[in-house]
Amino acid sequence: MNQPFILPSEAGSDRGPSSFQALAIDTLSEADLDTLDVGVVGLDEEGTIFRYNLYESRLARLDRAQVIGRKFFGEVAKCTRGAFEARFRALIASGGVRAERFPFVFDFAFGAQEVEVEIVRPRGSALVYLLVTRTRATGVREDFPAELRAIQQRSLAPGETEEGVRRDELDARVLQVPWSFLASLRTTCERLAPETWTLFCHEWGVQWGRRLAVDLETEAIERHAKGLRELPMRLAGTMLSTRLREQGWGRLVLDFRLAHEGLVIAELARSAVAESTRLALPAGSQADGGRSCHLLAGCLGAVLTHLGERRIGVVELDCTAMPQPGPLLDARGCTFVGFSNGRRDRIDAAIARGARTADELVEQLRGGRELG
Amino acid sequence: MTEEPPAPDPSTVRGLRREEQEEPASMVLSRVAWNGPVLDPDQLTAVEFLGALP
Repeated sequence: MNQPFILPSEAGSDRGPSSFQALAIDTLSEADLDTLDVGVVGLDEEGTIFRYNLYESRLARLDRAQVIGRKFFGEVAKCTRGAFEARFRALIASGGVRAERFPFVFDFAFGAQEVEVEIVRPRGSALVYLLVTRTRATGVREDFPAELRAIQQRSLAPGETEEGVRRDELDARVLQVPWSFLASLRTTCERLAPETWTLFCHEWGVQWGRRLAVDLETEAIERHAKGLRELPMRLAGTMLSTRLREQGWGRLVLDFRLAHEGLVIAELARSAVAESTRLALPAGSQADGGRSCHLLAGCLGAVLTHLGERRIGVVELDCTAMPQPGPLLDARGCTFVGFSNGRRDRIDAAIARGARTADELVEQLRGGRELG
Repeated sequence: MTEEPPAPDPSTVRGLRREEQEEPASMVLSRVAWNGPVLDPDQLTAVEFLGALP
Protein backbone atom coordinates (compact mmCIF):
# COMPACT_ATOMS: atom_id res chain seq x y z
CA MET A 1 0.00 0.00 0.00
CA ASN A 2 1.23 3.45 -0.75
CA GLN A 3 2.57 5.56 2.00
CA PRO A 4 0.21 8.50 2.20
CA PHE A 5 0.91 12.13 2.68
CA ILE A 6 4.41 12.49 1.36
CA LEU A 7 5.69 16.01 0.97
CA PRO A 8 7.16 16.61 -2.47
CA SER A 9 10.75 17.61 -2.83
CA GLU A 10 11.58 21.24 -2.50
CA ALA A 11 11.39 23.06 -5.82
CA GLY A 12 14.78 23.24 -7.45
CA SER A 13 16.36 20.52 -5.37
CA ASP A 14 16.33 16.75 -5.60
CA ARG A 15 16.33 15.88 -1.95
CA GLY A 16 14.21 12.98 -0.82
CA PRO A 17 10.69 13.41 0.40
CA SER A 18 9.64 13.73 4.02
CA SER A 19 6.39 13.45 5.90
CA PHE A 20 3.94 16.25 6.20
CA GLN A 21 0.68 16.89 7.94
CA ALA A 22 -2.51 16.41 5.97
CA LEU A 23 -3.82 19.68 7.33
CA ALA A 24 -0.99 21.49 5.52
CA ILE A 25 -2.42 20.40 2.18
CA ASP A 26 -3.82 23.88 1.54
CA THR A 27 -0.31 25.35 1.48
CA LEU A 28 0.93 23.10 -1.33
CA SER A 29 1.12 24.39 -4.86
CA GLU A 30 -0.41 22.54 -7.80
CA ALA A 31 3.08 21.34 -8.75
CA ASP A 32 3.58 20.04 -5.20
CA LEU A 33 0.27 18.19 -5.29
CA ASP A 34 1.30 16.53 -8.53
CA THR A 35 4.27 14.84 -6.88
CA LEU A 36 2.19 13.18 -4.15
CA ASP A 37 1.38 9.50 -4.48
CA VAL A 38 -1.99 10.00 -2.87
CA GLY A 39 -5.06 11.28 -4.65
CA VAL A 40 -6.06 14.83 -3.72
CA VAL A 41 -9.40 16.41 -4.63
CA GLY A 42 -10.18 19.91 -3.34
CA LEU A 43 -13.88 20.78 -3.19
CA ASP A 44 -15.83 23.82 -2.13
CA GLU A 45 -18.79 23.38 0.17
CA GLU A 46 -21.05 22.68 -2.79
CA GLY A 47 -18.84 19.83 -3.91
CA THR A 48 -17.43 21.67 -6.94
CA ILE A 49 -13.94 20.49 -7.86
CA PHE A 50 -11.26 23.20 -7.57
CA ARG A 51 -8.10 21.11 -7.19
CA TYR A 52 -7.38 17.68 -8.62
CA ASN A 53 -3.89 16.25 -8.57
CA LEU A 54 -2.01 14.08 -11.04
CA TYR A 55 -2.27 10.87 -9.01
CA GLU A 56 -6.05 11.14 -8.80
CA SER A 57 -6.25 12.10 -12.45
CA ARG A 58 -4.30 9.04 -13.58
CA LEU A 59 -6.12 6.53 -11.41
CA ALA A 60 -9.52 7.91 -12.32
CA ARG A 61 -8.34 8.22 -15.95
CA LEU A 62 -9.80 11.70 -16.13
CA ASP A 63 -8.25 14.85 -17.53
CA ARG A 64 -8.07 17.73 -15.11
CA ALA A 65 -8.87 20.18 -17.86
CA GLN A 66 -12.36 18.69 -18.02
CA VAL A 67 -12.81 17.85 -14.33
CA ILE A 68 -12.13 21.19 -12.68
CA GLY A 69 -15.36 23.08 -12.13
CA ARG A 70 -17.62 20.03 -12.18
CA LYS A 71 -19.60 18.61 -9.26
CA PHE A 72 -17.72 15.73 -7.64
CA PHE A 73 -20.59 13.84 -6.06
CA GLY A 74 -23.31 14.50 -8.59
CA GLU A 75 -21.38 14.42 -11.83
CA VAL A 76 -17.83 13.03 -11.75
CA ALA A 77 -18.04 10.31 -9.08
CA LYS A 78 -21.65 9.35 -8.65
CA CYS A 79 -20.52 6.22 -6.82
CA THR A 80 -19.68 8.49 -3.88
CA ARG A 81 -23.28 9.51 -3.29
CA GLY A 82 -24.67 8.24 -0.04
CA ALA A 83 -22.44 7.54 2.94
CA PHE A 84 -19.30 9.11 1.39
CA GLU A 85 -21.07 12.38 0.57
CA ALA A 86 -22.78 12.32 3.97
CA ARG A 87 -19.37 12.32 5.70
CA PHE A 88 -18.34 15.31 3.59
CA ARG A 89 -21.50 17.22 4.51
CA ALA A 90 -21.18 16.27 8.17
CA LEU A 91 -17.65 17.65 8.40
CA ILE A 92 -18.78 20.96 6.93
CA ALA A 93 -21.80 21.14 9.23
CA SER A 94 -19.70 20.40 12.31
CA GLY A 95 -17.04 22.98 11.50
CA GLY A 96 -14.42 20.31 12.11
CA VAL A 97 -11.07 19.96 10.42
CA ARG A 98 -10.83 16.23 10.01
CA ALA A 99 -13.17 13.28 9.56
CA GLU A 100 -12.31 9.75 10.51
CA ARG A 101 -10.50 7.82 7.79
CA PHE A 102 -12.76 5.27 6.12
CA PRO A 103 -12.55 2.53 3.47
CA PHE A 104 -14.40 2.92 0.20
CA VAL A 105 -14.66 1.33 -3.24
CA PHE A 106 -14.63 3.54 -6.31
CA ASP A 107 -16.51 2.01 -9.21
CA PHE A 108 -15.27 2.94 -12.66
CA ALA A 109 -16.30 1.58 -16.03
CA PHE A 110 -12.81 0.05 -16.33
CA GLY A 111 -12.76 -1.54 -12.86
CA ALA A 112 -13.15 -0.94 -9.16
CA GLN A 113 -10.54 0.51 -6.79
CA GLU A 114 -10.38 -0.14 -3.08
CA VAL A 115 -9.28 2.99 -1.27
CA GLU A 116 -9.05 4.66 2.08
CA VAL A 117 -10.37 8.19 2.31
CA GLU A 118 -9.58 10.99 4.68
CA ILE A 119 -11.56 14.22 4.55
CA VAL A 120 -9.82 17.31 5.90
CA ARG A 121 -10.57 20.98 6.01
CA PRO A 122 -7.57 23.07 7.07
CA ARG A 123 -8.60 25.92 9.35
CA GLY A 124 -9.56 28.99 7.36
CA SER A 125 -9.59 27.10 4.07
CA ALA A 126 -12.38 27.60 1.58
CA LEU A 127 -11.81 24.05 0.36
CA VAL A 128 -12.48 20.64 1.79
CA TYR A 129 -9.94 18.01 0.69
CA LEU A 130 -10.46 14.37 -0.08
CA LEU A 131 -7.20 12.46 0.42
CA VAL A 132 -7.53 9.13 -1.31
CA THR A 133 -5.05 6.31 -0.74
CA ARG A 134 -5.40 3.42 -3.18
CA THR A 135 -4.95 -0.03 -1.76
CA ARG A 136 -6.02 -2.34 -4.58
CA ALA A 137 -7.47 -2.31 -8.06
CA THR A 138 -9.95 -5.02 -8.96
CA GLY A 139 -12.13 -5.90 -11.91
CA VAL A 140 -15.46 -4.33 -12.75
CA ARG A 141 -18.10 -5.04 -10.14
CA GLU A 142 -20.86 -6.35 -12.38
CA ASP A 143 -23.49 -6.03 -9.69
CA PHE A 144 -22.85 -2.29 -9.28
CA PRO A 145 -25.39 -0.12 -11.15
CA ALA A 146 -23.77 1.13 -14.34
CA GLU A 147 -25.47 4.53 -14.06
CA LEU A 148 -23.74 5.15 -10.71
CA ARG A 149 -20.22 4.43 -11.92
CA ALA A 150 -17.72 7.29 -12.09
CA ILE A 151 -17.74 9.23 -15.31
CA GLN A 152 -15.39 8.35 -18.17
CA GLN A 153 -13.13 10.70 -20.06
CA ARG A 154 -14.95 10.12 -23.33
CA SER A 155 -18.15 11.39 -21.70
CA LEU A 156 -16.42 14.46 -20.31
CA ALA A 157 -15.12 15.58 -23.68
CA PRO A 158 -16.88 13.80 -26.52
CA GLY A 159 -15.48 14.30 -30.00
CA GLU A 160 -12.14 15.63 -28.79
CA THR A 161 -10.19 13.57 -31.30
CA GLU A 162 -11.45 15.88 -33.99
CA GLU A 163 -10.20 18.78 -31.89
CA GLY A 164 -6.64 17.50 -32.06
CA VAL A 165 -6.56 15.70 -28.71
CA ARG A 166 -4.69 12.38 -28.54
CA ARG A 167 -4.85 9.97 -25.63
CA ASP A 168 -3.06 6.75 -24.72
CA GLU A 169 -4.82 3.54 -23.77
CA LEU A 170 -5.25 4.83 -20.20
CA ASP A 171 -6.84 8.07 -21.41
CA ALA A 172 -3.81 10.24 -20.57
CA ARG A 173 -3.38 13.05 -23.05
CA VAL A 174 -0.21 12.56 -25.08
CA LEU A 175 1.66 14.36 -27.83
CA GLN A 176 3.41 12.86 -30.78
CA VAL A 177 6.50 15.02 -31.07
CA PRO A 178 9.02 14.79 -33.91
CA TRP A 179 12.71 14.69 -32.99
CA SER A 180 13.15 18.14 -34.51
CA PHE A 181 11.23 19.46 -31.50
CA LEU A 182 14.09 18.33 -29.22
CA ALA A 183 16.71 19.55 -31.67
CA SER A 184 15.02 22.95 -31.65
CA LEU A 185 15.14 23.03 -27.88
CA ARG A 186 18.86 22.32 -27.85
CA THR A 187 19.50 25.00 -30.46
CA THR A 188 17.48 27.47 -28.42
CA CYS A 189 19.41 26.61 -25.26
CA GLU A 190 22.72 27.02 -27.04
CA ARG A 191 21.71 30.45 -28.30
CA LEU A 192 20.06 31.86 -25.19
CA ALA A 193 21.81 30.07 -22.33
CA PRO A 194 25.10 28.61 -23.53
CA GLU A 195 26.50 28.47 -20.00
CA THR A 196 23.48 27.23 -18.12
CA TRP A 197 21.48 25.08 -20.52
CA THR A 198 22.67 21.86 -18.88
CA LEU A 199 21.23 22.99 -15.54
CA PHE A 200 18.00 24.00 -17.24
CA CYS A 201 17.65 20.62 -18.94
CA HIS A 202 18.58 18.70 -15.79
CA GLU A 203 16.00 20.55 -13.71
CA TRP A 204 13.39 20.06 -16.42
CA GLY A 205 14.18 16.36 -16.20
CA VAL A 206 13.85 16.39 -12.41
CA GLN A 207 10.41 17.96 -12.62
CA TRP A 208 9.37 15.48 -15.30
CA GLY A 209 10.77 12.56 -13.33
CA ARG A 210 8.76 13.45 -10.24
CA ARG A 211 5.58 13.31 -12.26
CA LEU A 212 6.67 10.18 -14.09
CA ALA A 213 7.21 8.49 -10.72
CA VAL A 214 3.64 9.30 -9.74
CA ASP A 215 2.44 7.92 -13.05
CA LEU A 216 4.36 4.71 -12.36
CA GLU A 217 2.89 4.57 -8.85
CA THR A 218 -0.58 4.40 -10.34
CA GLU A 219 0.53 1.61 -12.67
CA ALA A 220 2.05 -0.28 -9.72
CA ILE A 221 -1.21 -0.09 -7.78
CA GLU A 222 -3.26 -1.20 -10.75
CA ARG A 223 -0.99 -4.08 -11.74
CA HIS A 224 0.59 -5.22 -8.49
CA ALA A 225 -1.63 -3.81 -5.73
CA LYS A 226 1.47 -2.26 -4.20
CA GLY A 227 3.20 1.06 -4.23
CA LEU A 228 6.16 1.35 -6.58
CA ARG A 229 8.67 1.50 -3.72
CA GLU A 230 7.40 -1.79 -2.35
CA LEU A 231 8.09 -3.69 -5.55
CA PRO A 232 11.41 -5.50 -6.03
CA MET A 233 14.04 -3.08 -7.31
CA ARG A 234 14.44 -4.86 -10.62
CA LEU A 235 10.71 -4.89 -11.29
CA ALA A 236 10.36 -1.18 -10.49
CA GLY A 237 13.28 -0.51 -12.82
CA THR A 238 11.70 -2.59 -15.56
CA MET A 239 8.50 -0.57 -15.26
CA LEU A 240 10.51 2.60 -15.72
CA SER A 241 12.40 1.17 -18.70
CA THR A 242 9.22 -0.08 -20.32
CA ARG A 243 7.53 3.28 -19.96
CA LEU A 244 10.46 5.16 -21.49
CA ARG A 245 10.76 2.69 -24.34
CA GLU A 246 7.04 2.89 -25.11
CA GLN A 247 7.29 6.66 -25.23
CA GLY A 248 10.17 6.46 -27.67
CA TRP A 249 13.05 7.75 -25.52
CA GLY A 250 15.22 4.70 -26.25
CA ARG A 251 15.94 1.40 -24.51
CA LEU A 252 17.00 1.80 -20.91
CA VAL A 253 18.78 -1.06 -19.13
CA LEU A 254 19.51 -0.71 -15.43
CA ASP A 255 22.57 -2.59 -14.19
CA PHE A 256 22.71 -3.21 -10.45
CA ARG A 257 25.94 -5.22 -10.36
CA LEU A 258 27.94 -2.32 -8.92
CA ALA A 259 25.45 -1.59 -6.17
CA HIS A 260 27.96 -2.77 -3.57
CA GLU A 261 30.18 0.06 -4.83
CA GLY A 262 27.28 2.45 -4.35
CA LEU A 263 26.63 2.78 -8.08
CA VAL A 264 23.64 2.00 -10.31
CA ILE A 265 24.54 2.02 -13.98
CA ALA A 266 21.94 2.86 -16.63
CA GLU A 267 22.52 2.37 -20.34
CA LEU A 268 20.17 4.14 -22.71
CA ALA A 269 20.47 2.79 -26.22
CA ARG A 270 19.29 4.90 -29.15
CA SER A 271 18.59 7.90 -26.96
CA ALA A 272 16.11 10.20 -28.67
CA VAL A 273 17.55 13.17 -26.84
CA ALA A 274 21.15 12.43 -27.76
CA GLU A 275 20.49 11.57 -31.37
CA SER A 276 18.33 14.62 -32.00
CA THR A 277 20.14 17.24 -29.97
CA ARG A 278 23.69 16.37 -30.94
CA LEU A 279 22.75 16.78 -34.58
CA ALA A 280 21.77 20.31 -33.63
CA LEU A 281 25.30 21.11 -32.51
CA PRO A 282 27.94 22.62 -34.73
CA ALA A 283 29.97 19.95 -36.54
CA GLY A 284 32.60 18.39 -34.31
CA SER A 285 31.31 20.09 -31.18
CA GLN A 286 32.30 18.35 -27.97
CA ALA A 287 30.50 20.78 -25.69
CA ASP A 288 30.24 19.34 -22.18
CA GLY A 289 32.32 16.34 -23.19
CA GLY A 290 29.74 15.33 -25.76
CA ARG A 291 27.14 14.61 -23.11
CA SER A 292 23.66 15.70 -24.10
CA CYS A 293 21.14 13.77 -22.02
CA HIS A 294 20.89 16.03 -18.99
CA LEU A 295 17.13 15.88 -19.36
CA LEU A 296 17.15 12.11 -18.95
CA ALA A 297 19.72 12.28 -16.15
CA GLY A 298 17.47 14.60 -14.19
CA CYS A 299 14.47 12.39 -14.85
CA LEU A 300 16.23 9.18 -13.76
CA GLY A 301 17.54 10.90 -10.64
CA ALA A 302 14.06 12.08 -9.67
CA VAL A 303 12.53 8.63 -10.18
CA LEU A 304 15.29 6.89 -8.18
CA THR A 305 14.99 9.55 -5.47
CA HIS A 306 11.28 8.85 -5.29
CA LEU A 307 11.89 5.11 -5.09
CA GLY A 308 14.62 5.31 -2.48
CA GLU A 309 13.11 8.08 -0.37
CA ARG A 310 16.59 9.57 -0.34
CA ARG A 311 18.49 11.77 -2.72
CA ILE A 312 19.90 9.76 -5.59
CA GLY A 313 21.98 11.75 -8.05
CA VAL A 314 22.29 10.69 -11.68
CA VAL A 315 24.79 12.05 -14.18
CA GLU A 316 25.64 11.09 -17.71
CA LEU A 317 29.01 9.38 -17.89
CA ASP A 318 29.37 9.13 -21.62
CA CYS A 319 27.49 9.48 -24.86
CA THR A 320 28.22 7.49 -27.99
CA ALA A 321 24.93 8.29 -29.66
CA MET A 322 26.63 10.15 -32.48
CA PRO A 323 30.14 8.78 -32.93
CA GLN A 324 32.65 10.24 -35.28
CA PRO A 325 32.13 9.34 -38.95
CA GLY A 326 33.29 5.81 -39.67
CA PRO A 327 31.99 2.26 -39.39
CA LEU A 328 28.74 1.95 -37.48
CA LEU A 329 29.14 0.76 -33.94
CA ASP A 330 26.99 -1.99 -32.55
CA ALA A 331 25.91 -0.14 -29.46
CA ARG A 332 25.12 3.53 -29.52
CA GLY A 333 23.73 5.23 -26.53
CA CYS A 334 24.35 6.98 -23.28
CA THR A 335 25.71 5.70 -20.00
CA PHE A 336 24.39 7.14 -16.76
CA VAL A 337 25.44 6.51 -13.21
CA GLY A 338 23.25 6.81 -10.14
CA PHE A 339 24.68 7.27 -6.64
CA SER A 340 23.74 8.51 -3.22
CA ASN A 341 23.90 12.25 -3.42
CA GLY A 342 26.48 12.50 -0.67
CA ARG A 343 29.05 11.14 -3.12
CA ARG A 344 28.32 13.71 -5.81
CA ASP A 345 31.59 15.61 -5.37
CA ARG A 346 33.66 12.46 -5.73
CA ILE A 347 31.68 11.32 -8.78
CA ASP A 348 32.00 14.74 -10.43
CA ALA A 349 35.72 14.75 -9.71
CA ALA A 350 36.18 11.29 -11.23
CA ILE A 351 34.33 12.33 -14.38
CA ALA A 352 36.38 15.50 -14.55
CA ARG A 353 39.50 13.32 -14.41
CA GLY A 354 38.26 11.44 -17.46
CA ALA A 355 36.19 8.51 -16.17
CA ARG A 356 33.83 7.57 -19.01
CA THR A 357 32.92 3.98 -18.15
CA ALA A 358 31.65 2.28 -15.04
CA ASP A 359 34.97 0.46 -14.64
CA GLU A 360 36.95 3.67 -14.92
CA LEU A 361 34.65 5.31 -12.42
CA VAL A 362 35.05 2.48 -9.91
CA GLU A 363 38.81 2.57 -10.37
CA GLN A 364 38.90 6.30 -9.72
CA LEU A 365 36.64 6.01 -6.68
CA ARG A 366 38.68 3.15 -5.25
CA GLY A 367 41.84 5.10 -5.85
CA GLY A 368 40.38 8.04 -4.02
CA ARG A 369 39.41 5.80 -1.13
CA GLU A 370 42.89 4.36 -0.87
CA LEU A 371 44.36 7.83 -0.98
CA GLY A 372 41.73 9.24 1.30
CA MET B 1 22.74 -18.94 33.23
CA THR B 2 23.18 -18.63 29.52
CA GLU B 3 21.49 -15.80 27.72
CA GLU B 4 19.55 -16.45 24.55
CA PRO B 5 21.05 -14.61 21.59
CA PRO B 6 18.89 -11.66 20.58
CA ALA B 7 16.31 -12.38 17.90
CA PRO B 8 17.43 -11.03 14.53
CA ASP B 9 15.67 -8.00 13.21
CA PRO B 10 13.71 -9.35 10.21
CA SER B 11 14.37 -6.17 8.27
CA THR B 12 18.11 -6.74 8.64
CA VAL B 13 18.14 -10.13 7.00
CA ARG B 14 15.43 -9.46 4.45
CA GLY B 15 16.72 -9.63 0.93
CA LEU B 16 19.73 -11.76 1.60
CA ARG B 17 20.36 -14.56 -0.81
CA ARG B 18 18.27 -17.62 -0.17
CA GLU B 19 21.14 -19.83 0.92
CA GLU B 20 22.15 -17.21 3.44
CA GLN B 21 18.63 -17.00 4.82
CA GLU B 22 18.80 -20.70 5.65
CA GLU B 23 21.83 -20.15 7.88
CA PRO B 24 21.45 -19.43 11.57
CA ALA B 25 20.53 -15.80 11.95
CA SER B 26 23.56 -15.03 14.09
CA MET B 27 25.90 -16.33 11.37
CA VAL B 28 24.03 -14.37 8.70
CA LEU B 29 24.31 -11.19 10.70
CA SER B 30 28.01 -11.68 11.28
CA ARG B 31 28.56 -12.19 7.56
CA VAL B 32 26.59 -9.04 6.82
CA ALA B 33 28.80 -7.18 9.22
CA TRP B 34 31.94 -8.63 7.63
CA ASN B 35 31.11 -8.41 3.92
CA GLY B 36 28.55 -5.65 3.83
CA PRO B 37 24.92 -6.21 2.90
CA VAL B 38 24.09 -8.20 -0.21
CA LEU B 39 22.15 -5.89 -2.50
CA ASP B 40 19.92 -8.18 -4.49
CA PRO B 41 17.53 -6.24 -6.78
CA ASP B 42 15.23 -9.25 -7.01
CA GLN B 43 14.93 -9.69 -3.26
CA LEU B 44 15.01 -6.15 -1.95
CA THR B 45 12.22 -3.70 -2.55
CA ALA B 46 13.12 -0.52 -4.40
CA VAL B 47 13.12 1.54 -1.22
CA GLU B 48 15.25 -1.05 0.60
CA PHE B 49 17.70 -1.42 -2.26
CA LEU B 50 18.27 2.27 -2.90
CA GLY B 51 18.18 3.01 0.79
CA ALA B 52 21.05 0.56 1.32
CA LEU B 53 23.32 2.00 -1.39
CA PRO B 54 26.58 2.87 0.33
